[in-house]
Amino acid sequence: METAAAVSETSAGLVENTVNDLDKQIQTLMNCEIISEAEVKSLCAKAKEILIQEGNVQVIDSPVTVGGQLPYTNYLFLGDFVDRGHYSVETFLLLLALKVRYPDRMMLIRGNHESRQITQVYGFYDECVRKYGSPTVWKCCTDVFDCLSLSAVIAGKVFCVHGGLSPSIQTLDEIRAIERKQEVPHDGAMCDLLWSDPEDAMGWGMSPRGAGYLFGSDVVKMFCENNGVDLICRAHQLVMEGYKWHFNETVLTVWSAPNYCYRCGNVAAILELDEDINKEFSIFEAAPQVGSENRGAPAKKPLPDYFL
Amino acid sequence: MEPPTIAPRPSWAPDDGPAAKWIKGPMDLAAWKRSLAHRDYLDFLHRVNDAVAGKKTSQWVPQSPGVQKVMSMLEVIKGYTDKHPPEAEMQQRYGNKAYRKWYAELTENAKELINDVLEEVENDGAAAMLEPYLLDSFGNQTRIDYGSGHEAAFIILLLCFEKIGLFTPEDLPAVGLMIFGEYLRACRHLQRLYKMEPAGSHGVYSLDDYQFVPFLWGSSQLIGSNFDPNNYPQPEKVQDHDMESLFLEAITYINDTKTGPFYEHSNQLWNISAVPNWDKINSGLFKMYEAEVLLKFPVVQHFLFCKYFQLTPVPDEN
Repeated sequence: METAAAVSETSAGLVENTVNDLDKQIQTLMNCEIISEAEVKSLCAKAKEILIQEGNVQVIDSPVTVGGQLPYTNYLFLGDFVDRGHYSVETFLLLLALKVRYPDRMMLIRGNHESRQITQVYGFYDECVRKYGSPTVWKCCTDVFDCLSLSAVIAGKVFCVHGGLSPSIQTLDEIRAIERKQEVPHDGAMCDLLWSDPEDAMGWGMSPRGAGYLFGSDVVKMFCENNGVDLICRAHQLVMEGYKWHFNETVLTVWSAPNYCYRCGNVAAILELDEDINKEFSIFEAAPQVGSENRGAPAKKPLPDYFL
Repeated sequence: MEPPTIAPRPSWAPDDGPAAKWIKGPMDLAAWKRSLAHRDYLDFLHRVNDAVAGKKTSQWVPQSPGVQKVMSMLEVIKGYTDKHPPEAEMQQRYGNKAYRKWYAELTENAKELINDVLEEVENDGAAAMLEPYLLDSFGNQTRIDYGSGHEAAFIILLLCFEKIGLFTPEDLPAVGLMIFGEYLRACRHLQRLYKMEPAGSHGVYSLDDYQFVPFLWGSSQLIGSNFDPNNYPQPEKVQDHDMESLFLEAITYINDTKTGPFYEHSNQLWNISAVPNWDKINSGLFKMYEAEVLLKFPVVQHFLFCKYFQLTPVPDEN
C-alpha cells in the first residue's frame, strides 16, 4: 500500500522512500530480527530485477572482500547462505537487502544449498514455515536463488565459484552459455560448478557426494591456462583453519562458518584482495554462546507432525 | 534435431553380485518406498525396538555364537586404529588423513572378517555380496565424514546377517544393546580420533550430527523407566544414567563434544524433551526417521541393494 502511494509522488520522493525502507530493513535484519512477509516479497522482487541482469560469470574489480562485513570495497559471497543454522532467513534477507541497497558493490553467487530440493532437507524450508506460518517466503527466496549468478572473475585473474570445475566446461564462455535460471540440476555443468571438490588424484573422479566431481591439479592447470586466470577461489568444504591452499596455490578454499555444527572447533576466514590482488586473510571465531542471560532458553516445541 | 530419447531403465533385479547403488534421482524414491528393502528395514528396526523395550544397556542378555562373532569383528575393526594413529596436522583440511589408512586396512580385511562371522552358517559366499555394507558402515574414505547413511549401512548389514540365519529372534536384544552399542562406541572412537566431519548434518534441524538410531532404540529402552525426559538436556542429570540407555549414552557424547547451551546446539532434542513419556518419544522418532532419513534423497541415494535387500516392489496383497 505504501509503495502504491509513493508511485504517485515525484521520482525523487520514491527513491528516497525506498532507500530509507531498505536501511531500516537492513538494521532490523542486522539485529537478527525478521522483516514482514510483504517486505520480503518486495525485496525479493527488486533483487531479482538486479540479479537477472548479471551474467553467469560476473566481472568484479579489485579491491574485493571474499566471504564476509560493509561497503568500502566490493564484496563477494560464495553461496550457501541458508540451511543448518538458526537464522537462515535473516541471513539471506540481509544479503539481499544489501545487494539491493548497494547493487554494484555486493556480489552474490549461487551455492549448492540455494536449491528447492536441498532447502527442503536441510532446514531453510522448515525455518521459513516456522517464522512466517507458510511456505510463501521460502518460495520467494527460492525464486531468487534461480536468478543468482554462477561464478565471478576478479580483476581478470581470480575465478570464483562455489564448488569447483566441471568436465563439461573448458572455458569461461562455456559457463556464460549456460541457461542458469532454473533449479540446480542433478548433473551437468551447472550442477558440477556448485558441487565439485579438489582432490589429490589426477584428472576427474567420482564424487562421494553423489553430485559433481573430484578434480585434480592437472585439470586446474589446464583451466587456468585456457582462461588466463591464476587462481580458483571456492568454498563448499569445511576447513579447520578457515582457508586452505591446494595444488601449489592454484586453488583456494575459503570457509566462513566458525565452529561448524557447534562441534567442529574450526575458525572462519574471509579473503581480502587489494587493488593489485595481494591476498590477506581475516580470521574470526564463533560468537560467544551465552547462556540464559542473553536470549534465554526457548520454549520446548516438539514438532507436531511427529510428536503430537 | 530431435532430442535423444532416453530408454527407460530396466527394473532392478536381484543377482549374486556385490551390493550396489541403484537410486539415481528423486524419481527413484517412490520405488524405494514401496520396495521389499524399505519394508524389511523398517520391520527390522521395529523388531529390535520391541526386543530392547524396557531393557538397560548394561543388563545381561543372551549372546549366541553369532552375536559373539559380530562383537569380535567390531573389536578387531576398532583395533585397526592402533596401527594407524593420527598424523601430524599440517596441511590437512579438516579430517585426519590417517583415517584413509585405517579405511584401507578395513578394505583389505573386510571379506575375511565377514567370512569369519558367517563361518558356521550356510551362506553361499555372501561375504562378497555384503562387503560393501561393512565398508560403508564407518564413514567415507575420501571425505573423512560420517552420517546417518553410514549408520543405516551397518543396520542393513545386520538385517542381512539375520536373513542368512546368523541371528534368531532370541538374539535381537543383543543385536540392539550389545552389537549396536559396541558399533556406536567404535564409531565415536573413529570420529574423535580422526576428527571426522558430520556428513550431511541437518544442523539445528538434526536430531544429532552423526547418529539417529541410538535415540530410536534408546528411547524404547527407557519406556517404563523413572527417568523424566524433561531432564535429559541437563548433563548432570544424565551422567549417572548413561549406561541405562543408548539414548542417554548418545546425549553424554553430545555434551562431551558440542559447545554452548543444549537448547542451542541440539534444538530438536531440546524440543523433544517436552514430550511427556518415552513411548510417545519412541513412536515420534520412528515417524521422524521415516520422513527425515529414509525419504530424503541425499541419504538414500547412497543405499546399496542386493539379494538380501531387494528393491523389488512389495507384492500386492490381492
